Amino acid sequence: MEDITRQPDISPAAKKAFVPEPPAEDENEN
Amino acid sequence: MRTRAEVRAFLDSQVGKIPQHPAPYQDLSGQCVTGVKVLLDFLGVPNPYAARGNAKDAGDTLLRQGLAKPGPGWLTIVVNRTMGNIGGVTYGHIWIDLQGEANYESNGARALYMTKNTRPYNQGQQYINLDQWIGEDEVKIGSSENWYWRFNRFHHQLVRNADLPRSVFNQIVGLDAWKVLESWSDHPEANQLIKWQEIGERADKDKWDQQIYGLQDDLNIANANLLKAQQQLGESVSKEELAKANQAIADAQAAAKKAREELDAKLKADAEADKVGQGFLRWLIGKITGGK
Repeated sequence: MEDITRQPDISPAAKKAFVPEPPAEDENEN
Repeated sequence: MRTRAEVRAFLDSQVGKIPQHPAPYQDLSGQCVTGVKVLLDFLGVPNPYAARGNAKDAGDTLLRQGLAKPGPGWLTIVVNRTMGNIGGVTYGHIWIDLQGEANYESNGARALYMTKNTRPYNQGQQYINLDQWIGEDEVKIGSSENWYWRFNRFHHQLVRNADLPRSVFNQIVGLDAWKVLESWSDHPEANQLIKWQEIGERADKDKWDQQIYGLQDDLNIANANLLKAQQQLGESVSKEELAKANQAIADAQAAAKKAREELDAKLKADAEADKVGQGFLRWLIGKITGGK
């Protein structure tokens, strides 16, 4: 079980699970 | 439009779950940006799952697209641009804060899962709000006596001048107060009550009660004169006195007839002025003239 107490950054496990967003497509919106 | 209560309930329902991202980017499920995207979806924001950049940039994109407003609100999106340094690249972090109530983050304190109250507000560097997507909270009718008292009063004022049956009250408990009032206000009997109100206002303004009592008095005097004249006739002996008594009777009858005609004309004029009042006026005429 991970420690879910408040931390100054996202947890190390969260960093490990991180997936970046695809390029923003907002120029084509609205 | 979602209400605050609905937003609270939705976010609470997400705690302990992995926020799901639809195809073709299912691999984004559980990311902090996805935690915000599922909220956008719930709020009815257009293209909720569109790519709007990593956490550090997503707030700027929402502002640029007009989907959020600058500054904190009740439903605030908080961005920290310096967190999330992964492999030498800084992606930032983004989370949700309900002003003074709670905060929610995905992939922050716990990998891929939504957690509640794990991210301090003061860790934010950018605050934007989604309040434009929030509607007014409903006011639901409670079951307590003060609610019954108030809606019983509305019932008298809007539907009919009778107590609200408890069985009907029980059916409206838990409903939106405004919607119930709206439906009562549209009730056919509500329009009838307005017409009666108008008649009542006219009756009060024209002092119908005083007019009726005045005419009743005239009628009673005329009837008394008639009785007196009849008595005098019985006691009379001379031809002269008989003629005098007959004249008194004729005068009394004429006075009674006149008083009655005045009363009838008054009531008839009012009845014609407003057909709605005819039932009420017929009742009055009957009451005054003894049903004749």
